[in-house]
Amino acid sequence: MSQTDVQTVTLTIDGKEVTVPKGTTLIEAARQGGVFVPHYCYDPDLSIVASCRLCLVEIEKVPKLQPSCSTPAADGQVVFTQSEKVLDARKMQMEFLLVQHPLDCPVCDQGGECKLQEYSRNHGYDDTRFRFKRRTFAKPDIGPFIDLERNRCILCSRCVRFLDEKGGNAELAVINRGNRSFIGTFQEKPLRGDFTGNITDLCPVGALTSKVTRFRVRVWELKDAPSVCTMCSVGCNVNLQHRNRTHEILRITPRLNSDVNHRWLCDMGRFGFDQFNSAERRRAPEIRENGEWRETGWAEAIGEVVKRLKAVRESHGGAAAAGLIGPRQSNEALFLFQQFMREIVGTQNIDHRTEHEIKANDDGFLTSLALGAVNRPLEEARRADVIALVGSDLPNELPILRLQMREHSRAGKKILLAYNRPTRMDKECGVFRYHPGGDAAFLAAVLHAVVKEKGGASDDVNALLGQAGRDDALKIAQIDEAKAAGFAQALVAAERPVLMLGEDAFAGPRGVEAVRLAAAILDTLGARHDGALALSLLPTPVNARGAADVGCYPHRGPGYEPVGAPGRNTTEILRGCIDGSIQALVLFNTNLLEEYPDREFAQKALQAVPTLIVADAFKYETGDMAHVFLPLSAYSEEDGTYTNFGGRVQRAQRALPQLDGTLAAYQLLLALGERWGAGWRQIRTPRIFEFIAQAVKQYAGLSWDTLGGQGVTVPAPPDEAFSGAAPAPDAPLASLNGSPGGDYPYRLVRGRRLFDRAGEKRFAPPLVDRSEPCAAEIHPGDAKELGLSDGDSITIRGEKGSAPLTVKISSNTRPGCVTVLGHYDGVPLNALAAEETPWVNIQR
Amino acid sequence: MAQETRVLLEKLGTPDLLTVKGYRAAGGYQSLEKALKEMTPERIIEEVKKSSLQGRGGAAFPTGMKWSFIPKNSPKPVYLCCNADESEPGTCKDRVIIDENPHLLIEGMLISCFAIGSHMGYIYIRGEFHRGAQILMMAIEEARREGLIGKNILGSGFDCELEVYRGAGAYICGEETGLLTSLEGQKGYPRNKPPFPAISGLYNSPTIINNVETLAAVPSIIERGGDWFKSMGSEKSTGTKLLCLSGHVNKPGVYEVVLGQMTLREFIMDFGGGIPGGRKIKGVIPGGSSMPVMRDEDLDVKLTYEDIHAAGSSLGSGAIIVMDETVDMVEMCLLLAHFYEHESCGQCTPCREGTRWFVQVVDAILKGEGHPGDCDLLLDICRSEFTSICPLWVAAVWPVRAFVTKFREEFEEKIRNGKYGKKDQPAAMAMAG
Ligand SMILES: Cc1cc2nc3c(=O)[nH]c(=O)nc-3n(C[C@H](O)[C@H](O)[C@H](O)COP(=O)(O)O)c2cc1C
Ligand code: SF4
Ligand code: SF4
Ligand code: SF4
Ligand code: FES
Repeated sequence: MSQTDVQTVTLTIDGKEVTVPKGTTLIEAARQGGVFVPHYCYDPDLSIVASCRLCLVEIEKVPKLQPSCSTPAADGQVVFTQSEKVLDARKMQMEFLLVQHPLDCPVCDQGGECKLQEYSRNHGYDDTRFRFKRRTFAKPDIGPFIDLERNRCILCSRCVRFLDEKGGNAELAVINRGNRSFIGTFQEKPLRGDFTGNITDLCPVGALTSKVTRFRVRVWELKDAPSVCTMCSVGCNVNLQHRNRTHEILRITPRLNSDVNHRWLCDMGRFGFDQFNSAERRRAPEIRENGEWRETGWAEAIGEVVKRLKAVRESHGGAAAAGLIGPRQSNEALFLFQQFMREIVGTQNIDHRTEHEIKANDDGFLTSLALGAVNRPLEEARRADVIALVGSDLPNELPILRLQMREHSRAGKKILLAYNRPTRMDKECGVFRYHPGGDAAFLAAVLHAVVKEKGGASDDVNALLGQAGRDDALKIAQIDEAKAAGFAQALVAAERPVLMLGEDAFAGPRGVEAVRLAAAILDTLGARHDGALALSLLPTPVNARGAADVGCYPHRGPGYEPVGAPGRNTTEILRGCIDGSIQALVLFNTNLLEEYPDREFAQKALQAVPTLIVADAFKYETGDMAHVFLPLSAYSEEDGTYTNFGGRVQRAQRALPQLDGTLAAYQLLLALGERWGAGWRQIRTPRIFEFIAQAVKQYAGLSWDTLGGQGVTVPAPPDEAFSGAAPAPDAPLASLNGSPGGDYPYRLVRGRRLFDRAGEKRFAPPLVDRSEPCAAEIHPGDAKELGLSDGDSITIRGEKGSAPLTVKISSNTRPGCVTVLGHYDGVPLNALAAEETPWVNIQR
Repeated sequence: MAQETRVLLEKLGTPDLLTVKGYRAAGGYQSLEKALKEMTPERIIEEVKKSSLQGRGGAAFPTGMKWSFIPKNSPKPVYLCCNADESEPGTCKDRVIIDENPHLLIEGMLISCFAIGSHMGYIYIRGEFHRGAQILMMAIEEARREGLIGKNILGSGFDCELEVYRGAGAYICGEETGLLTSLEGQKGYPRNKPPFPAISGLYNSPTIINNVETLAAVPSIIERGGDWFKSMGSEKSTGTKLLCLSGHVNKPGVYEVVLGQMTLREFIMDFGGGIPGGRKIKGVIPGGSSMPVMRDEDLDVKLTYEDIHAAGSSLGSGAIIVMDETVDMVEMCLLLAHFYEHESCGQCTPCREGTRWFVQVVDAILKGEGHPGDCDLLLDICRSEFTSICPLWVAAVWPVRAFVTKFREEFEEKIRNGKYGKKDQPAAMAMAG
């Protein structure tokens, strides 16, 4: 639309002329003219109901006052928001709203940020004329996150509308009629949505407050620290609300950033902060001698680490040392980590990919960069008309992206969702179902169909098709040709299609193939914009992108620059620990025993390596195996930058001082370099970021200051970084998938759950409360054959081990599969079978 | 003595009127035939405009004008909704048409659909009208079999479907936008206007909502012409009107009269046969429970929309409720306040909170717990009458204001004789109630 197409109207509000686009409501026009009209039910992000009647304004020549939230501005209108008539009506509404209100401000958590308090001071009567019994309602328990106090509710219905329009499952309703109306859930059941915390922000009064924060603090004691959420790679902008006196994070609220999360957060990110306050956090370094742990000071611990690493370097050479760092640390820590290992310890044995067996150093993600993928999921989804998702259970992986998908679908965009089981967003999508492990095969089937639709393809694509036969693909994916063709046709018909791959597709055993097939699909469609391929991968760990950008790879340094002689990747490092070629292993922020897909292998490696250094905020089972354990500060206690899955570099400012006895990861690394005698000294985050900006080409010109409060999106790495990159080995599709062996006739499928006890989530009691124990989901047909019923105790056994579980019969799982959702401590699902051969049997 | 003039009720009593055959034998469906075969939609609207027919649901909006608001060549379907929710206390006229002459309504709806370009008409009938709903459904079924509903009606090429939708017993679903949300399957919450239903109504499509009696008047206008209809009654109150007479009269009932031929008192005395026991009238509500009550001395007003309006009340839906001298006006006020409190949808602030506050104050006065300032408090609450989403709040305000203003002495007396009546009562103690 060109500038001249935008129609505007000019009106007068309180004597001031305002020009706004046609269709603007009066309340927004007034806002643009600098006039604030008090309101309750209106929210710019929700549908308009105009029911509170607080925002009434006077319009010249219109006899009745009109709600400014629903009345469109019109040319020549003369509007008064402060006339006597308006003020009087506003006062009346305020009085009405207060007649039933319990006036229990002293015990109300909203106190201090309550719109009822604020408006009645500014617009209400001084005294109440109401002398009757106030109406009261029962107080229900609506789950671990939200407290509902109906007596304080003013029935503005913002909460109801949010959960219906944005949150996805319309769990709240106004029940009953008239002044017996109240907010509630169906049969008073607990809220089960993923975004319910947002209603505590939206509720203008103290009717909906955070149960997690409730009674722990008064709002005026809280200070804000602008930060980003680190629970997934969307990187939602947040305020870490904290109280210094007790050294606690007490609430997380969204910070407006319309390029990222707008003003919404998911419940996992919002209510998980008690991990930072956890008593389980370690407060002193520990050294294990003769099997005994002993606490010590930092000087000794750092000395011990340096001594051990130097000894290895001297006796075996730097290449006998290795370091793994979880993709959850800040860019600064990740950068210094690889710098320390490379420059000081003298090894290229570095990796951040701790959750998968690494088969090719250039994995699915790097392949996507080499093929020119744009990798900007949020922006791409906004621009697309058809969004195709493959291999992602988005609601359990990247919640806010899922919320935005719902907005996109409501805005009329078409969403295609291909996955191996039902997800919570199915009803907003065109759903395509393939067999677990069949992500790449599904893409191959779609590629065949796209090429058929388009009637031709490039030589490269034809070569790929030659390796991935159509019939094999359909068989492995267990999908009809017509279904695959339907997916293809929707893409072909799209004006601006985008394709997104979840971790199941791009990070699993067939990740590289999946990415190449996806790229071939888009190439055939010609889906390129400004040279970039409309492909975005969806990694979930908060700083997966940052770890890649700053060079936590064995074969690529900062900015993806290839290193001379590549070191060992995660899998090779563990193998080296077992065969003795790795003598020292440094683990930062990774509970490898839980994360690595083959627990037995990881355990063997950690047991064998003569020096194991573990640095983390919690000790976990991995820390228990270390020789030296170094307690890290929480991210809320250090400044850092994080790069989200779309390459947006954002600042997380520290909220609290470091917990006594802990060091920030970057400080620890600097201290190690200093003690080593390498000339390192303590510097602050902004200075480290300067080094990153020098070392990583795409970050050139950025600084802590220029990142500002909203972050900056960096470009894709330059092509040169990938020239000469060895093409991935071509895997013929036939070998894409083995089949279950005789003794192990079932396929173990591990699915995700937003609320489980994985990693640090187990240290946040509200998240634990919300989680459900894992169960073995079995198809009704299989259950019948095995004579199993719901709730039966069974043992799932694979080649490597077994786990006790209870049966849940569900047709969400396909025949021949056992699905276990989420992670639960005590159920080590990575101890049963190898990632690539997930075959198990079921025993009573 | 004033006489009934039967137009809508003309055929009542003819045999088999509930069947197509019986209705046809009495001359029915000829207007439909005429409309479809001899007239254009524009002509029909012209004729209805000429008749000056006003909506009979209560607001008395000119029907022809309302129809002409439907956008021409709308890309969306146009709907007609017949408002058969008849729930306003005192009103019981629509049910007579529904129960006794359903084909008149069907014929009126079909003609109206044709006029506004609609192919789908809904009859939203109040849940308690169980029998009425059955009669209508049977009549529609039979009319469909006879080729009067469905495709190519009477060979004219015009297609139209009618369907009965039963409410669940909420007065607010008689308010036209509440009716629409209910009809869409949602909770019966009224909507803000604008947009008006004629532009964006049912399923966001152009929609006309008309009362049963309004639609039932259409066949006669088509048959005998708008001028004929207008020739009856006063300048502004044309045609005939069904009046529902209830309360303290000897012969309550539904009567069809030409407006302007008598005064309100004459109507009550002549048709109602006087007051039981020869008692005196204390007050009359002339147009359904929402309309302001009138005192006995004001009843010699001409029975037309405009004259009653000039006298400070309204003919509304035509429900005339008579209260004799034995009625306690505070109690009566409470009864009505209760009704509106019970029926408020609760969506918007003034009505949700105000209706309950009304009840609490009036109840306190009745129980002898009123405070000296309570009448003024009630009147002050009434000032917010035009701040709600829909007119239910207005309908709740008017009776309270009228009872307190016109019978204030009764309220004040109860307050004076009550617990807090003594002037020297300290305010703090008064608050303790
Ligand atoms: C609270 C309330 C209840 C109403 N109930 C009815 C009703 O039961 N029947 C009716 O025809 N109109 C009722 N109305 C009036 C309708 O909103 C609407 O004006 C009418 O159906 C229009 O039809 P008409 O133009 O033919 O009168 C009610 C209005 C209000 C505010
Ligand atoms: S609970 Fe809060 S947001 Fe929901 S309706 Fe009540 S006041 Fe509004
Ligand atoms: S979507 Fe991700 S980044 Fe956003 S709040 Fe949830 S966990 Fe945090
Ligand atoms: S005025 Fe009353 S009935 Fe009408 S919308 Fe408001 S609360 Fe509901
Ligand atoms: S804000 Fe406009 S009516 Fe509530």
